[in-house]
Amino acid sequence: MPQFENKENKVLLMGPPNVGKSVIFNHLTGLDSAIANYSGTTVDYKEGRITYRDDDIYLIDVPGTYTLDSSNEAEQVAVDMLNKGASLLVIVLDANNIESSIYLLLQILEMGIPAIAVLNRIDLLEEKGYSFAAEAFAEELKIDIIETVAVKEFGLAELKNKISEKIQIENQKKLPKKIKASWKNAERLSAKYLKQKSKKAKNKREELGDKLSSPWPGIPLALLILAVIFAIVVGIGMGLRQYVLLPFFRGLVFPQIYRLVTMFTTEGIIRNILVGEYGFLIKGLEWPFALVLPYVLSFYTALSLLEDSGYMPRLAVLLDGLFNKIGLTGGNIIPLLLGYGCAIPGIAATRALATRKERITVAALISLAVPCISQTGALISLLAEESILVMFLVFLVSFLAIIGAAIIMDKSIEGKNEPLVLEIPPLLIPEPKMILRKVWLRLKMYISDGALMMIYAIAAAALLYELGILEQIGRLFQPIIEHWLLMPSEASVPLILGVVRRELAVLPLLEMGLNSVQLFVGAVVALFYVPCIAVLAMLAREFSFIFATKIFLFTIGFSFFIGGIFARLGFLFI
Amino acid sequence: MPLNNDLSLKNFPKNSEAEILHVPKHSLLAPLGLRKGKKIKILSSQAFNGPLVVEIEGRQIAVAKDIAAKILVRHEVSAHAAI
Ligand SMILES: Nc1nc2c(ncn2[C@@H]2O[C@H](COP(=O)(O)OP(=O)(O)OP(=O)(O)O)[C@@H](O)[C@H]2O)c(=O)[nH]1
Ligand SMILES: [Mg+2]
Repeated sequence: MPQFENKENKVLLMGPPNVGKSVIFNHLTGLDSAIANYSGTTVDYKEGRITYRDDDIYLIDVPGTYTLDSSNEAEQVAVDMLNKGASLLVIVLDANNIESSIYLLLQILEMGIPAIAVLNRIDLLEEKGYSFAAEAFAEELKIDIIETVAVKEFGLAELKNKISEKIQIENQKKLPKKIKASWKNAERLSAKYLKQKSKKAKNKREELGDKLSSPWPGIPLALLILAVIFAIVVGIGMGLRQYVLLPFFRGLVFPQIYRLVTMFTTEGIIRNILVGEYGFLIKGLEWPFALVLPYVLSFYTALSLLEDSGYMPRLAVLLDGLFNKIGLTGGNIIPLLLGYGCAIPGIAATRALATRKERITVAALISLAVPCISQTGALISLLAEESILVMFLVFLVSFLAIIGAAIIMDKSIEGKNEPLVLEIPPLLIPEPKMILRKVWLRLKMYISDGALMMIYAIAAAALLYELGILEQIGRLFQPIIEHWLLMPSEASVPLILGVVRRELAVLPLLEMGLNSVQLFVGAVVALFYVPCIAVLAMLAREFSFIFATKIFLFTIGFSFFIGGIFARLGFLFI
Repeated sequence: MPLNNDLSLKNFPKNSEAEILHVPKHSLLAPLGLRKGKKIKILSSQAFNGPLVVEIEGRQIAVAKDIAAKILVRHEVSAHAAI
């Protein structure tokens, strides 16, 4: 439960999806709520604080909702928040889609809570040649209204003042006029105050938006865009690693570390723990920062561009037909793509899916067969130098597994998928500042959550290795690793570490001198192996402990099973 | 209202404009502008039996064919008010 559940000065930021609530929230609170150009970016509430003079005002970013009749779990959060009450509501209207915004406004006002209306995205409205008489509209409803262009920060200072004014001055708390929430009233109000100033043909950006969402030329363009993105992610990632980060660490940093460590330690266990086989001063820097970080950087740059431009829903529309054939719907591409970054936001994003069945299916697919970017980086490090072919084979196996698992889950989970109804937002040019900020946030998160965790795990491994405990544990796995997977017994190390983080199921394989078949088998086992601990915890939280346990057991069983089969097939060919 | 195929949005030609006569019950259709009396334009029909992309008052929405089949429209847009 939120800490200020019962606090005074609770302000809810509500409105339809994709109107810019999170942009406003971030500006007012200095926090970082996720922003992207599609419906259902915010899937849970987020709390922030505005300090104004002596007052603390608690602002809550709420998931967007088209109406108060929720159509998914994210929208349900919004309805629940509203039902719990607040001191003040800030209701953000989409100037670009004013009619349905007015309907939602009327619905929310029926709750009888003091409110301020915000008319956002007026830039898009003007661009279409329309204007909305906000003052007169507000007059009729007896509500305060503020016009904003959140991305340009226009009107936000005024909004902040208005919020604190409303909170501070008791007699300001008079309620807006109650008008019955009906489509007839919304249409009437919209018709009365929305005026067309000039007829404008679609501009270049809008035309491009249309092209991207029609089969021709949308499908070839989609293939091109995805190929370019793949090339950028892998190319920039590899380039950074090969020509910048590895030379930096290996040429400059590591020699210094060796020098210092040998100066202060004698030959033996301490020195080995620091700079030996799993020496955590070496691997603890090289793995997270030289091998994985470049891909985190390149992937999130590409993903942020996809998110902010509004391309993701277009991709969803193009893919819907194909996805239906394997028991998914087009909208599922959004959580899946997010899962290629990290499973946790991917699974969170399933809250915006229409049915429980889809949620469970997509969450399971992400946990089983979608490698997160850290693991992808590790896989590329492991495989690309050895053989590009093996790398492509591993990605092919991952795709086939997603398709197979989707079909099986569709058949085995009761119920039908909800047919697609999806808003295609206007195509927007991503703001470089926003992209930089998003990538920076991701990097910070990777370092504080991912890299640090990796360093701890490596330190623990170094210690256990030097104490001979790792070998003992390894012996337990030995039969299955040597006789079933046909790998050297040291390959138990990644399987132990891999429970902590996905890429650690891969990285220890780097210096084992494996042949191509073993590399392939190791990579495939890692791919299907247990998603990391944090993901299991997320699954337990979002679904149930039983579901998380099932995923845990299944991924272990399946990864070994498939690995052994590939090991045999592979050796047939050599 | 009986389902009449000639009137179904699903069978309407691309790039033509129509007036909506009937929309099935669905929590997302009305807020996305698919309501009786609105003018609707079909922009594209997606591959592999995918959704229709339609435009209503400048807003674009993808609607699965299963649902589009239950949305009834007529070609001429007459002036009389929607009831
Ligand atoms: N042109 C324009 N774009 C805007 C404006 N405000 C926000 N956006 C863009 O609209 C998109 C959605 O913004 P968000 O803040 O994520 O929207 P939200 O209301 O939080 O959406 P949900 O979390 O899905 O409910 C982003 O791509 C923003 O850059 C604006 O005033 N003008
Ligand atoms: Mg949001």
